[in-house]
Amino acid sequence: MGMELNFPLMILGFALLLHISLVNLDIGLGVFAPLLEWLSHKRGDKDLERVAKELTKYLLAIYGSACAMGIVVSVMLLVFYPEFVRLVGLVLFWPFTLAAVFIFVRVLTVPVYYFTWGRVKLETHLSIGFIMALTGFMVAAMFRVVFSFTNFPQGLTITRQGLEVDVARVFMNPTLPPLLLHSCLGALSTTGFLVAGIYSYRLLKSLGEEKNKKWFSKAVKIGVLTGLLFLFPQGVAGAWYLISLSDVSKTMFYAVTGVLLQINKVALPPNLVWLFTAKILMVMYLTTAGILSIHFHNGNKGVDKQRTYLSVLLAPFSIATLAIGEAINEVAHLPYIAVPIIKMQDAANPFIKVNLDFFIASIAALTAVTLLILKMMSLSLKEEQI
Amino acid sequence: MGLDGVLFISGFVAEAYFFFASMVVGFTFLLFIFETLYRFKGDLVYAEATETMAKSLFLFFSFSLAFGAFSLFGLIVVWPVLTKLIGMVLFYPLYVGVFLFPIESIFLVMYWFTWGELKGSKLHIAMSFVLLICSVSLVALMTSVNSFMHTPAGVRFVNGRVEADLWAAFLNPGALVSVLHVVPACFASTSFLCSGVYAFKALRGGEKGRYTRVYKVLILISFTLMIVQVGTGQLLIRTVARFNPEKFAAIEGVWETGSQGVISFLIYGDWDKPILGLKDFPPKNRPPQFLHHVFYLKLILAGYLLVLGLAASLFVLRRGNVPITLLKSSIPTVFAAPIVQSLGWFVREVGRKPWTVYKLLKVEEAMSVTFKLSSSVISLLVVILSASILAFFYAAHRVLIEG
Repeated sequence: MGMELNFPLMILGFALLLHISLVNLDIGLGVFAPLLEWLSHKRGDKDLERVAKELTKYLLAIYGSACAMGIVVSVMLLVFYPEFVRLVGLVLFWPFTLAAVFIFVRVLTVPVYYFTWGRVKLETHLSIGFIMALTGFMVAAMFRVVFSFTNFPQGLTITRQGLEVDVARVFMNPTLPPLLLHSCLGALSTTGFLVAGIYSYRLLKSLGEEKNKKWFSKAVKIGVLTGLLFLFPQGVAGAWYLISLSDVSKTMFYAVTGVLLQINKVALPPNLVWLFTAKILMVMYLTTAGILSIHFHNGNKGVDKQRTYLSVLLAPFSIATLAIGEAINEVAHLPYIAVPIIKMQDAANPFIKVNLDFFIASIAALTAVTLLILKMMSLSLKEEQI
Repeated sequence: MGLDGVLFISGFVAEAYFFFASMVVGFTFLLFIFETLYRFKGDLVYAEATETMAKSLFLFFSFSLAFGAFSLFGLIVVWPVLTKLIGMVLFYPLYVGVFLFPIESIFLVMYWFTWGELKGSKLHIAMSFVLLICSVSLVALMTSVNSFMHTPAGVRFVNGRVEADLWAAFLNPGALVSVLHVVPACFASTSFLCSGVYAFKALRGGEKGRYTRVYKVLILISFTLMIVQVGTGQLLIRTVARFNPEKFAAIEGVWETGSQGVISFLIYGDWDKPILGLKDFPPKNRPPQFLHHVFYLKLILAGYLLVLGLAASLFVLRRGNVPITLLKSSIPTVFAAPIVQSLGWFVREVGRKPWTVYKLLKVEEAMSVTFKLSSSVISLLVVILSASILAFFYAAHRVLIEG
């Protein structure tokens, strides 16, 4: 693969990682907010309601950029790899159509949930919230069908007459159930740790203020518990995913584990064992720091600064773990874009020559977008702006 | 369900997307104007109007995002050949657009989150300016992509392979004039829509003076933009006559080739210059003839907006007030302005048929060959999309009318 083809891939990879990180938080916050709202009313707990309302603000901040980055990724795929888009458009009609319908509902329910807080009956508001949560998972499910197809193109037969597609077999891809389960659990655990990290930081910043200590601590505890609760089954689902790859997508299995099973006449991806090891180390940190944080925040014993610093780091570490996991999954496809039917270079736009200047300009623009997103998220953390 | 069902659903989604996206552009423009007015005049009425418009912008942006995503996936699965061609040759507008879009959405959220703290400040007006620049640039770039489908340039098929000049495709002959017509159209239709809303609020009683102050600004902006629209519309129709003569014949209802008097003069500056009639084109290449009626319905409605804008502007400028009759006459602009714009897009898109990309790609060649939408799926999609449109009207009523 020539250098010219690597640049588009790196730009696309940057945008995809940003999008997937935002989408996971979007899915997680979309579940947390209505669930905490429901719990707060059930228990009559005003602190929980406050956390739920704040999380809805974060959700609003994240959802717009997640959607926008989704369109960015789609258009980048279209201009850099038009043949791939044509192929998946032909083959994956139903996943894309259903995804479009679920995105449609999801995009509308997020602002409706935010703007109707306290203005409609509780039952109505919760119903909107749970539809929002459900559609978040359904969008993820449909895109994981697309991802699983790129792992192993089950359901596609190429004949002399053209392409034949067996829709049922596309949806029954053996890598789909573990990948989907792993992703959904990952979205929830990452969001939990992110919430824990953000509220730990706010707790440290307002150590002298008694008024916020109680509900900040409660938010940390909820975040850590949720993060840990979903982290362990996520690990099991991850192992299941690896086993499924060893069966049907041996090149991807090689990329993750470095173990070369029997492979005939296919190009090998880079060995990513070092990256996978880094991910495992980060998961170990999340587990240890999470357990320490639970112990500390159980009760009103005051704030232990050292342990709170540990839980602040849960936020960046959980996002980094997520990003590394997604990066491994994507890079493991190389040199294919859909293993083993279409290579990156065969799908590339023949009219685009991406040089170094173009690459730097694109990465600078994406970095600016990332910084703006962070600024926007920090603005959403401020109180009483609305 | 064959081609008709797919075209119907594609057209439905595209029209809805054009409507919402246009309003997003228009609201960013009004946001900038009214917040600047608030800063310099210090009148809280303008701050309230800006806040209402910011909420409306959020509403329209959400629907534009939903329909935009639906359109994009629709293009990928229903029109894969077209999608591939556009992805290959329209790299520049699409690639620049991908960076503007997230910036626009981020600034929208930041604008909203800082409203209470920063409204009327230089920084906040700068945010609305960034929003305006992003939305105008995006609509200009996407209009250039759309224009390529009407006046394609820089692309050749040689032995089954595509040869492309990406700059020529981007700067296709219809691009600039289309942008000059579409951008003010977005501003004008939103401004007219809001003037109708504020006329209704003023007449509803209670605080007539406050709402009339906002109405006056809106109607002056609307009228000015309508004048621009007449000029750029004239340029656009000349481009259509030059590059898409069968479409021009269909929308003007010209059947036999010959001089058409006023139409000949408006297009060529010559009363006697002949205009090609539909009979001179093979039947399979003729656009639908009902376009003629749709086009003139659009002109009649645009005429109503122009006359209303002129009358109201004269009253505002000469007497400083607006009679109740004019306020009442303004209420229908809530529907008339978006309808004029939608009819404009309808004529533009349907007039290209039977081509998807003029003289390069026919409708049936651009479509997916592996899937056909059944009538039940089409019906289900129409129900979902219609329900969302109804939800939109309810939400728009809550935001714009009830505040």
